Amino acid sequence: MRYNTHYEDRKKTIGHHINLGIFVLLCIVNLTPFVWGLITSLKTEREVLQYPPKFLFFTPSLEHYITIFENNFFHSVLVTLGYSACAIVIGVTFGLMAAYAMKRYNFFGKKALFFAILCGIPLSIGSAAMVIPNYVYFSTVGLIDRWYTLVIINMAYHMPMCTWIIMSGIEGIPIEIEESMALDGASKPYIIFRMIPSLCSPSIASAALFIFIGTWNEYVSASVIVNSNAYRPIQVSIYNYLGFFGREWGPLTAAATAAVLPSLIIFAILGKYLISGLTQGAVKG
Amino acid sequence: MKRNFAIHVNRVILLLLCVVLVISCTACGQPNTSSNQQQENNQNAAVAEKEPIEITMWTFLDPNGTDGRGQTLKKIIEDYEKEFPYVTVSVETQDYTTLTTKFLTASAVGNAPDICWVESTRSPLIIEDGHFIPFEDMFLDEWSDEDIADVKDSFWDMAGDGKHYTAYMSRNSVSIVYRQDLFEEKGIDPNSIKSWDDLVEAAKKLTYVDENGMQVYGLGQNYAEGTNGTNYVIEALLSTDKLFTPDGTAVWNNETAVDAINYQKEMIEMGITPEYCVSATFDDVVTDFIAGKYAMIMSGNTRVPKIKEACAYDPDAVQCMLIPQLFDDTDMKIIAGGWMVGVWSGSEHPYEAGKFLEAMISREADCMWVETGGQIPMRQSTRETLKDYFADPDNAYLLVAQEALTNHAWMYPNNFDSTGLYLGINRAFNSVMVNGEDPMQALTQTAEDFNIAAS
Amino acid sequence: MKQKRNIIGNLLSLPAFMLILFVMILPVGYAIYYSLLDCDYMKITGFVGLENYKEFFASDLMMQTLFRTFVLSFCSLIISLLIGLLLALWIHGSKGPFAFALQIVGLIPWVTSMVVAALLWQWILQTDTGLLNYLISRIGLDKIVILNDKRNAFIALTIVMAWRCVGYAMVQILAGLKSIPRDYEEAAEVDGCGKFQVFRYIRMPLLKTPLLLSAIIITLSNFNNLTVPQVLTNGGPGNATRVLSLAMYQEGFQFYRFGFSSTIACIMFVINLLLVISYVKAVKYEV
Repeated sequence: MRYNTHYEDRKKTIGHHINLGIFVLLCIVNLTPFVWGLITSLKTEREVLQYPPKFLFFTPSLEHYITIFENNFFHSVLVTLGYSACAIVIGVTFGLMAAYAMKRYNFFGKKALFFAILCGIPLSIGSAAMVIPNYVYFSTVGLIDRWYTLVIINMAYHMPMCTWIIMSGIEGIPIEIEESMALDGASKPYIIFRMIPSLCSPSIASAALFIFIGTWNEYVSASVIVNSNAYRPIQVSIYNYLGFFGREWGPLTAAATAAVLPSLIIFAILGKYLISGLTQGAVKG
Repeated sequence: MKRNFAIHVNRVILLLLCVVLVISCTACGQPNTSSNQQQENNQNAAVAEKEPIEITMWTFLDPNGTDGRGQTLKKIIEDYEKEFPYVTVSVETQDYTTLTTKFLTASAVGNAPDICWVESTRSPLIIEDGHFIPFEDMFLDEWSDEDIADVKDSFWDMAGDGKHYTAYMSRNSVSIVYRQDLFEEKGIDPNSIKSWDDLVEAAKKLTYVDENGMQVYGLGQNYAEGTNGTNYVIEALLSTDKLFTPDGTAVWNNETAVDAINYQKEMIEMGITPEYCVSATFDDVVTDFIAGKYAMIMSGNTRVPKIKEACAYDPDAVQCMLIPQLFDDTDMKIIAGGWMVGVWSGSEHPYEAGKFLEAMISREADCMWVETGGQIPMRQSTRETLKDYFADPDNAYLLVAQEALTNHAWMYPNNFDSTGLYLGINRAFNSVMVNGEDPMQALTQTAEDFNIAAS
Repeated sequence: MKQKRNIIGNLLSLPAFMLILFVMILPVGYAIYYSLLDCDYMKITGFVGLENYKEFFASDLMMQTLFRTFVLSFCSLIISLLIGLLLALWIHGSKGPFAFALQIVGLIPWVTSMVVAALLWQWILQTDTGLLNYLISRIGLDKIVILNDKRNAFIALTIVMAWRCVGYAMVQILAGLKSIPRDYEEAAEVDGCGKFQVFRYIRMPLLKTPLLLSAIIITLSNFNNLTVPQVLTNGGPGNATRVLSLAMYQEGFQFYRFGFSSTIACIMFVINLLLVISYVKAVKYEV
């Protein structure tokens, strides 16, 4: 008996060690570029490309962070946060409406909408391939280079995924709840915009997260469809350091590190919703 | 009760939709009204000159940035706006890799900026598609013969029809960038390198393993398919003029190219150029040079200021020399590159835009581009004006670059599109090195591909 | 309520529908239009019908590129899914802060800017100045040539693309795992099923849908990925890592052959669409 517990304990500790080992390996693989970028961003310019590379004993310096802030990086951060906020609020609202319609009503053109959502998924993921046609199209309708251009584009790009996620969230809500609410005198707008979101809030949160990550990391369309420096989102600012006169590793890694932080913070806060939001139904397809 | 709800819902939703529709209508309608307004503005401007206007320019430079070139541009804009108080110059910074494509598309659709920078390493053909207004229609008539003589070089008379459409800014020349300190360490005099064989000999001495255990290579080159940097094989074909027939047929499948490929292979076998030059781009080579991996690289001069800024060794040790003569009987040639800057033919303010372009290439501006921007001088007179500046050994590389551009430039032909040459040569070299193909066969294949795409 | 056609449905879905239609689907029309033209340097010189498509399908280089793109997307998909599945199972079995840490670490590659991640990987994998080879040589082993060797470069590209998507697969599968009612697993355990059997007979069938969903999204994302191949290897050495999106980009942005570039874009779109439709058929989704 005593031997047995001892054996169990040992098995547990070994298992624990293996787990820890794999975790460390995972951290190394996933975090190396990130950490290396962070280290690089803190070096002085002359140390950045030095070989053999210095991992710890370099002269720490914030010069690259100062450079990026002098180059209006903060403006891009604010602009991109603005784009994300608008795209999330309007995108989630429209997505919710469409998802509700898809799930609770039968209407003319439902199949067309479904097909549009289907086409939209590859079009948004493969937007790089469409960049020239997109430019021509947006010029023709006069949507180039306005403050709302990127809001509209990001909203549209994530509309299919967003609708899809919320649709599966609504699927998990029994229709009886709605019916009894309606009998109790709840109006339809109240049901759609208050009750449904509160019942499938994780889905809403994960849809919002998808829009945020997408908007925050969108580069190809943004670089072509917006001209003014004032409307320049964050990824375009980062690319700016891969210039005609050479790669500026210091500011590049500084900007990239600074750009990852908001995503990480938001993930740390909303991460748990992401999983449970998808649980509610995205998996049901 | 329920019915009322339904009606209520319908109304609310209808209202929402109306709002959406109105928003989208104004969104779509706005460009029309604004362009109408602009047209009116334009007419007004003709009547009363002082109506405030804005001209836009696309470039990869950022006047609000911290680097010297951006600062120079900012200064030029400030001076210009003092002279033309009713004009605001708005610079829209673009990604240089997509800038040209974006301009071509915008010009076709009709909303390009007043002034645009276009990559000239592509093709002078762009000029002839009518994207730009000739200088003759804007300001060139006011120029004296002396002024014109000052800017007249192989770039100036690029267009086939004798007119002048674009100025060549951010010029790029190619030379050997080397490390004086390593040369001294190994006892090599850079001035003794007169031929390619001398260069190879020097590179052999400069290939060694340094105290940190890093392999240092004598000569860095780039052969990646997507790169636009020059290399030995391209140089050999350029200096013997065996790339194209005058009418634009690719004929690089010849003995010279085969010999050059074989010689390049030999250089790799000697160890002076690393084997992975096949996948190195221009940027990779520069990055590795900064890290100290190469003693010499064949590189564009535009990168020298960056190298000096970022290298871990003594920045003064970074020097340039002309690429030595490859063959006894022919002259060395380099591909002249840069950015063509012109006023868009659809511009609504061609006069003001032209004046701004003129300001960017004025005598004072040229000096500023050189001094604060680290650019190769464009005017002959600048060499005189900034004599002291060039006397500083730190800036001597600019003179090497200008020398190469003045006396050894190979200009892109203006009767056909020659831009596929890098891809053709590099792809052939890759096939030989990576897939073990026969050089002649590989060259013939890429020359055929080029000719098919051109037809 | 569900059966009768109702105008409210139209009204509710109108904004989303309009957005998708006007922002995403209409530009496809332009792509098709340009793909039928001879349009170098954006100068339309003639209507060529299906010539560009013929050129595409007749070119050995393009066919190889197409095939390579499929192999690359498929291989990196398998890696992402497998590792994503293992991670998800692990997180599902763990508790508290450890599970949370795992989740965040797993997600980092997915939230980092692609170009910077790819650039840093390129730096790490460089033969002479890279971190990996520095560490290898410090241990005293021979350096490995990665990005400059045909086979290794392809493997490296596959792994980096997979690396980027593991987090996404993990999240989707984890969500699927969490949605499996505990009762099923408990019942199976009571019936004397081993851990593997629970996985094989209870979880696996219920995970089919999240696996498929992430499979499609990851395939699409790999198939269309331009940034990672461009930054990491730019098609080289030789054309060992040249993929379709890269070919599309080069035609359009380096050679200014917009007609042919649009043709590649259209072909890519059709392939994408087929992938999505096959997915919908596979999960038997009904409108």
